Amino acid sequence: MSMGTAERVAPPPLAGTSRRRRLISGDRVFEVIAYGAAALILLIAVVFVIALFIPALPAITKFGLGFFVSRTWDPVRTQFGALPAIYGTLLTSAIALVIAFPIGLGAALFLAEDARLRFLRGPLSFAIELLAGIPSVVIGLWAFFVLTPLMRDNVDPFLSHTLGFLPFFQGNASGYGFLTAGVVLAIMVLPIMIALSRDVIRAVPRALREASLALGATNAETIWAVILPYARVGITGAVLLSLGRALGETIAVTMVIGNRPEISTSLFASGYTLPSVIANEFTEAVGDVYLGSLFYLGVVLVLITIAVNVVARLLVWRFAASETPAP
Amino acid sequence: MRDVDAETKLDARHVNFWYGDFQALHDASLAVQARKITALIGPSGCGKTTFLRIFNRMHDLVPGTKASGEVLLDGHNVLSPDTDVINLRRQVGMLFQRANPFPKSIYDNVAYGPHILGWSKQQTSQIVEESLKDTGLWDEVKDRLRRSALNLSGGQQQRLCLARALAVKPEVILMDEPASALDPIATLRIEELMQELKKRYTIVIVTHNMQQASRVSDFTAFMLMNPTRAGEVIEFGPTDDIFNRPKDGRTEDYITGRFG
Amino acid sequence: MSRPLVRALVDRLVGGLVVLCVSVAAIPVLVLFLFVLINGLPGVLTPGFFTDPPYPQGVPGGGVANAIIGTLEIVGIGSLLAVPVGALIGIFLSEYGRNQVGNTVRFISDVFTGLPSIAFGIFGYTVVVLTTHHFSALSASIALAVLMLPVILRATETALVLVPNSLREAGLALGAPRWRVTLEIVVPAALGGIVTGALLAMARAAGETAPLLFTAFGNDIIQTNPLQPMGALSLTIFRNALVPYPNLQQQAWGAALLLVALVAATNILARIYVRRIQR
Repeated sequence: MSMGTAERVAPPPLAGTSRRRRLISGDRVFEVIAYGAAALILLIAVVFVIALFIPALPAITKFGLGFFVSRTWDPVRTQFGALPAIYGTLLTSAIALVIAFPIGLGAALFLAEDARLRFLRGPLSFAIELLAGIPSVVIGLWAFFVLTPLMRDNVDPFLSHTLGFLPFFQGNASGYGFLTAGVVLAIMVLPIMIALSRDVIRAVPRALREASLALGATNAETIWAVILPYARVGITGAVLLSLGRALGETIAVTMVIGNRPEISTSLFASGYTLPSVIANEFTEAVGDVYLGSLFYLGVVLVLITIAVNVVARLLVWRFAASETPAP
Repeated sequence: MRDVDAETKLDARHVNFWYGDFQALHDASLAVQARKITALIGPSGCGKTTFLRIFNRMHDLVPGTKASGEVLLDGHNVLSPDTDVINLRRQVGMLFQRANPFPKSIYDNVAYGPHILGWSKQQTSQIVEESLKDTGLWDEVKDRLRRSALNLSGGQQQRLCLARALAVKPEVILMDEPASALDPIATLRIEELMQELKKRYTIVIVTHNMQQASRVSDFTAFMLMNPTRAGEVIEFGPTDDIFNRPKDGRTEDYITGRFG
Repeated sequence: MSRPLVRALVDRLVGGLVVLCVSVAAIPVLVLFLFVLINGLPGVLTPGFFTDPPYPQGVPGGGVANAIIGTLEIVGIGSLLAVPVGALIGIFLSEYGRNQVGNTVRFISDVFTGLPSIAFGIFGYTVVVLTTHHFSALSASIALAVLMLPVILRATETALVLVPNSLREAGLALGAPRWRVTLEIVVPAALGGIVTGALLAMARAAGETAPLLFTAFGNDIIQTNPLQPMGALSLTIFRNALVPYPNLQQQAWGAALLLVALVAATNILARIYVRRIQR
């Protein structure tokens, strides 16, 4: 083992072990910058909230809280109410969840733990992940040209024929309306529903599953009696987070919902959702009150979305906390 | 318990250490001799690594720790609050239990220390070569200095980490069970290196391997957990004395394998 | 029917249902890809698609050059704002943020992630359009920057947290100050994850429409001045879908193909990167 060249690099002068009184220490500067960046996001959040309210003020001052329950949406007489939009938002989201929940849960069960066809898990996961990334406007484009005629010519008549005794499936079907919008939302919400449910199901302790199977229970029975009950809270959280996503979806919905400020029990009817009003009428809005009402809708939307998300997170947090074993 | 006639490089005096409320070290004292190898041995949990990491103030990284007593490096107390910790860590280098090379090239790993110290490119490349030669790696890697360090074998990575530590010209090298993750051949190389390096550096090594301690070290300190679970230095002296003529019954028990 | 038989049948049924569900879930993506490809290719391959701006309604021909440049510029400026700030906040969270301040930042970031994208448009509208009295690409960039921020920040934090602590210790034990260890050792080690997160955020921003509706507003001429209203691929798709001119509709599909290709490419890149570091 060589001992190096004859002329070795001299060690640096011993600065002793006393602290150099540095006025500006690199660590301090870096820490300040880092905290500054954190402060920046807090600032952005505050400005964000204020920015939401400012353009809505003309409408807030004029209509107050009555805005939430008024059915009128009349640009001519500048009388505006959010109820049709709220109705549409809730209805389409409900339809979306009714469709996406069972399919999503089933898909999650497959992806989380099915022992069969394991090789398919990767590609299927990838496909569903890709769906999450497809821009809403592209889905809207497809829905507008492909889904709408499909609904009008095939699905709606079928439903009208078989379930027409229910008020939901009565009336004319143009292809644009709550139902179509609900289907589009379901497609968009599916990936997040699946991803979250899959994580929740994966978190169920193996020991529980194995105990059930060891007792001779079938897979189906284990899912029904053991896994789902355990994961109940987490799955509810997943559903709520999916709901949050559905509530905010703007563009794809706008392209297929028909854009009419009406409340109707028929799912075939055209309607409005909170974000689709804003997207659709922004260019036509003249006057502070009209514009302000649109932004007031935005405020309503954000408040509802935050509420849903907060509840969802609390649930998911509770689920995560509950699954840690007691000491 | 302390042998102060030779030159003492690192002098720990009555060190106590707490993790929060839990006392991990009690009244530990040790006089590490310059340019000698001092081994810290003892059963797991006796505080050897805790003690070692006090010498270069690495315990500062863990919140809630407190140390009292003195650790004198060439007369200055390392534990005092006005110690320049950055400079201390340059003077007192460390080799960890598992090799932890940076995910950079071999050259950039060894050059990192000189880079921080602001040395010139020419000085840096000279010292990289020196350090790699001192750890016996130069011939093995000189043609692939720009390749990633992560491609080296475990033993090579550990020697690379040693070269990296040497590149800042420390005076003391602390080794925390440096060979525990290595195969016997790589271990032997590390031990041979240590014999070479002690001509210029003071080495303190924590090891759970008694045979290694007796092979390699000049001085040995035996540590043990006391009834309150705080570590204590039971006996300290020339390795030969500790292993062949231990003064404390507990030392003898450990050496002869009656426990631990 | 005997009970064991019923149970076995139910089990089979549920097993089949589950497979059906996942198949159904995988269908939309395939269908979408197919339609976008089939309808978009003719658009993309039309001469002038990439080089011409749209012609007035009713006039055949034209292209989406204005939109391509617009999307690139709006997302580009937005990224210039969001990536450094987001990375810095991510560094903060990972290295200094195990405290109440850090938790607050994470909470705010999570709230932002759940907001409808149109809200970011309102933000850009109030902060820039109302103050400057006209629509501009800049307002859209700012809206998108705030939209991208939480994504980049979280990706950065995750990437940094994954860097083993032993690397930090090795750096500190050499006598490096903390800021150097963070910038010269930890961040480079996490760079792949940070870049991946940034790219995914940018791809998402490129597809956004709602935030652009009243910020960039759209522009049929090729515009590069960020202080002016500007077109974008997403706006083109949104507006062209609803007009009865086949050449414009075809351009919409072509633009959709471009966006989908972008999303697919970034997702694949991200997957490759994840696989590589798991080795």
